[in-house]
Amino acid sequence: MTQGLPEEDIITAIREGNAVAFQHVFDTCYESLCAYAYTLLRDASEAEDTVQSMFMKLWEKRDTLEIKQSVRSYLFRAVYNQCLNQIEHRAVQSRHRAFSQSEVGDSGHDPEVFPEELEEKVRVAVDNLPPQCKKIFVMSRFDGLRYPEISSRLNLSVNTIQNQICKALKLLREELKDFTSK
Amino acid sequence: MSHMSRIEIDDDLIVRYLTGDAEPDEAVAMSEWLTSSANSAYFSQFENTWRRSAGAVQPEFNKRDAWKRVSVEIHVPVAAARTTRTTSFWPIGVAAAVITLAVSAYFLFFVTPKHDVVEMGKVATSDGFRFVELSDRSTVTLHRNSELQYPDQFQEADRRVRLARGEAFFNVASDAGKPFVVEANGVEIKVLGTEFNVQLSDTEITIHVREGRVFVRSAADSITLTAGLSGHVVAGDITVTDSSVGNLYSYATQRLVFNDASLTQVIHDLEDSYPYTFELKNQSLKNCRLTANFYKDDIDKIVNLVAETLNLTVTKDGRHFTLEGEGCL
Repeated sequence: MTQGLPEEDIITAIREGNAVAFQHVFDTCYESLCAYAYTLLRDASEAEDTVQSMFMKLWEKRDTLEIKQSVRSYLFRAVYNQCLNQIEHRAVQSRHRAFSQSEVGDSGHDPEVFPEELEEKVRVAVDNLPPQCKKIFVMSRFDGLRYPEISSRLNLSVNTIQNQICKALKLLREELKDFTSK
Repeated sequence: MSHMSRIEIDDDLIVRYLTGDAEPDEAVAMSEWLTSSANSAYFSQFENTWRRSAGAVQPEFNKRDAWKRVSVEIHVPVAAARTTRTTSFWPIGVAAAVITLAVSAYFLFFVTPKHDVVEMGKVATSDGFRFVELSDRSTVTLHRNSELQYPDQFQEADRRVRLARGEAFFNVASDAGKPFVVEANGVEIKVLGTEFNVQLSDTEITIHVREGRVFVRSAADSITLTAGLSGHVVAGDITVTDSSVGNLYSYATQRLVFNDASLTQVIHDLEDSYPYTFELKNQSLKNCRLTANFYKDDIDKIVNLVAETLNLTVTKDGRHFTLEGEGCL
């Protein structure tokens, strides 16, 4: 990763409190970590907060740092775990809210309901997907459900879920060709 | 043993990544795969569709702002500790300060705390490179198996250091009143402020001048070298050649230029500039030729690009790369 430096040297440097080494790792990985966190959280500022706080924790506990895999693998896993915590936290919050408002219904998996601001062209394209494909795509895209959840709700294999979403994206890409250029 | 792309990147993984269903290891593989611009273009077709399908905007992550925030939290100066010195004291107009800084970020890891550098007045390398900052803000990048001796403070009329063995790249801070002198096997190289490389072998001392002017004096001869020239001192005699070709001192500048270079040459230059070794699995690979420019790229990225261009398979084992492929005619 970092400019050809052997990983052991970087890890040792960080463990010894070398801030330059730490900043270098930060510079090298920050953006791709945020991109990954964003796929999990779907919220850019939440993603950045998560990645930043992971780096802060890493620096705090640098003297006891044990990295067996590559630095990059270590960081991605750490971000992944924090994002899962974050998602768990959200779930607790929304359960609280739902409870105190005594059910506003909805966990939103009605395929007919799209975000309001969505362009007509896109809405039509999604609406025109084959039924099962559309259903699965909507659950993933708009309800933010992960494959295992979709799989258990629809009683379909995770593989099928993945194939269908892949198919949906390819169909949409064709459909929106002239529009997706930006 | 780790394979560069242990995890195969296919459409399924791309989609899984976008939907937030990729495992960390898969995301790592994706992030490495995405360093290729062809891959990234392919990826963005999916990403675009995924994003537009929910009317989302492309998120932008700014590592500089983020680092400011993080560095405050963890009480580290924004330009981390040791570089602050280098950045803030450079007189404006010193030759190629930018390059020096880039190099320093890279090599500072090798500077273990002061006792090694300042008190002993000597720094030596074995199988790694090393970056040294002198008390006058001049900087030296030491190649492998090299040794540099220098005082803690330059108190004499000139700033005098000694290259005891090996090779070093000097970026000398301007100080008109105090010449900077490198001694190497009885040869003196004298400058005011410039960048140059000194390479020492048993029989010869080679000086490449990157910027400015350098005065070289042996017991028997003397000459002034300007940028783009090399001086060769053999048994006291100095000859001059053109040094504008090839990847000289790339270990210090991190700039590599290949112009229809043979793969053998490419590997030689990479080994000379990075702490890694290479092996060509098939003889026919030696016929492959490459044209490419690299500047401050990390080794994985370079190797990936070379492999992609020449259709090679790469295996990385610690600090060793093995290249395999059909070869070239």
